[in-house]
Amino acid sequence: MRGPLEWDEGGASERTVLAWERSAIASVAVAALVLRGGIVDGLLGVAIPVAALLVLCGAAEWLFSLRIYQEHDRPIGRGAVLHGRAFVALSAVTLIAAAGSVALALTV
Amino acid sequence: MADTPGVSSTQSRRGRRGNAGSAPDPRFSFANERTFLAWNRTALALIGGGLAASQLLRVNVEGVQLSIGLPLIALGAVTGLAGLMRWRASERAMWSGVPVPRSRLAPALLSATAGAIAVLSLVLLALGQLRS
Repeated sequence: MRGPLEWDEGGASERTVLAWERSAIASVAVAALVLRGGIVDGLLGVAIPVAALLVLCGAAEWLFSLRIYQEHDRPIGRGAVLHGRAFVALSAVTLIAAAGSVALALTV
Repeated sequence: MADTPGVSSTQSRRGRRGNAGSAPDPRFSFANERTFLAWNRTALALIGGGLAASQLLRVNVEGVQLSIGLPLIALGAVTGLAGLMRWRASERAMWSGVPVPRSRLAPALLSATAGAIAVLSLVLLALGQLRS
């Protein structure tokens, strides 16, 4: 009988990698929107840091996805701990993006 | 408790930090991870949509953009936090060996989003004053 780590031959990790990459694209897209808002409203002091953070977040997500793919049979215990921190960071960046967006929306 | 096959006891102990019980099947953990990412993308979409509404909509009535954009951004922030809480609750349940709790927020969130979009459409239709 096959063990849990042999299951799927990497299919689950492949879907997860694609999910991370979609998230990276979404981060960069929102960064572009924030930057555009900052340019139009003349609020670059808010827009540039928020957009830079989102772009960095997108790059980190992309690198993270590569790592997951390379370690598709990674030990689950190690992965769970690492991802917990990544998820908290990702949520924090999302909240910062929301705060920056509110600032930009209010200056229209 | 037996370790997961292929996982050393050190890695397994490290993985259980903050969690009780045995390591979950990797496919469930991957699925939980993808669910979190889907929540996060929904949050980003709502934030981006709200920002776009406040920046790009051209309506001759003051305050319409903000009344559409700000709730969407706020909903995005709530969605981002909800995704993290949902991931934690599911992870905790998996490590404890109990069924993953049902999401009560997702249907409510979908209804709120659909409602917001409906209100947006009604407002724009009623105003009928979009600039070209």
